[in-house]
Amino acid sequence: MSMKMRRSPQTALVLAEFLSDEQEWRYGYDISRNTGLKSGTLYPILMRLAEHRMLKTSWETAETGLPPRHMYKLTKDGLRYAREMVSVARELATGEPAFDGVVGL
Amino acid sequence: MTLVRRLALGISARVVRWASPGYKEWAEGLEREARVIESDWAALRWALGSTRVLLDCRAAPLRSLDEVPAAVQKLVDGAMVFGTLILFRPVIDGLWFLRWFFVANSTLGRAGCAIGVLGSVIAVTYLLMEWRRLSLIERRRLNETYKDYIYNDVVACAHFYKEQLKSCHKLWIYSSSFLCWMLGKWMYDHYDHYLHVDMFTWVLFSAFILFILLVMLLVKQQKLRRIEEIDALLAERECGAEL
Repeated sequence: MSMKMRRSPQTALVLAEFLSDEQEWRYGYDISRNTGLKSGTLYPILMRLAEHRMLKTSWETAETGLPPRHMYKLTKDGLRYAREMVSVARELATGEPAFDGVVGL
Repeated sequence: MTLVRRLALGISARVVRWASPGYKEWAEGLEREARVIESDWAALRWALGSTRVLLDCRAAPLRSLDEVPAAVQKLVDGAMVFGTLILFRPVIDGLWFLRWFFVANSTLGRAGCAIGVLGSVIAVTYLLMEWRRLSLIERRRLNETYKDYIYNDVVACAHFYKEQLKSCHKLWIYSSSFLCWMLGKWMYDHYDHYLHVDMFTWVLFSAFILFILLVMLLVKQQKLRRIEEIDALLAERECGAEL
């Protein structure tokens, strides 16, 4: 038996946020602000993504004397999954295929 | 620092302290974010939301296959101690039911005692089998090849660990013995002593059953997660070998 990723609208929101800048490491609070998700909703999603090896985590190297922050970025598998899921979510929302029907760009 | 900010940081610090090992890093990440949020109230809302991490518990994740041998040893040791500790309960209950069986006046009361004894037999048999399996077979196998696993063949050890985790999915057998005890005790009290179970006892009984089911689900979920972690690590190792 395998534990599946939950395809919730909130997960789609988080993935879409990561796709807005694929190469950038993101902070939790920034994702929360941009998606409007509370920490109690956002972090379980991030944890599940990390569990499925779709998200990599890293600690920021502190230079300003402040304690390092936790950062997140999608892995290759995560990017593939994100594009697929965001595409499906857009299709459902608009009733039309996203990216002119091309999935997994 | 304002009182609200201090409260937010206090909550975050406690979440870090109380988070299970698997979520410690995430709790620390949440705590660091709470420090950089400019608005005090937003920081408090963030900290309150972070308590969600405490609702789930999880063992520290495996980061590499090199950590597997130690995890296997821990699993075997833990199961041995747990099995030995909970062995006493069915033995004592079984002896009580056996005693009641001989002093019971009604046939149905005696049948209840027999069901209770059956529950004990199921539990003791299951625990002895588990104990024997772990102590005689697996432990010997581990001791013989433990060093080999660590230094030469972590992949074999990972497969062995997966086997162990899958074969531990039989807690329902032990739980069925609980049901036998409950039913047996109820029948003995009801038919032999004409005791009527009140609402409070039923609520307590239902809560207990729910608790047992929740623990079983949690244990199963943790094992499935661990199996997935091992699969992912094995897949990574295979990819690395192919490259």
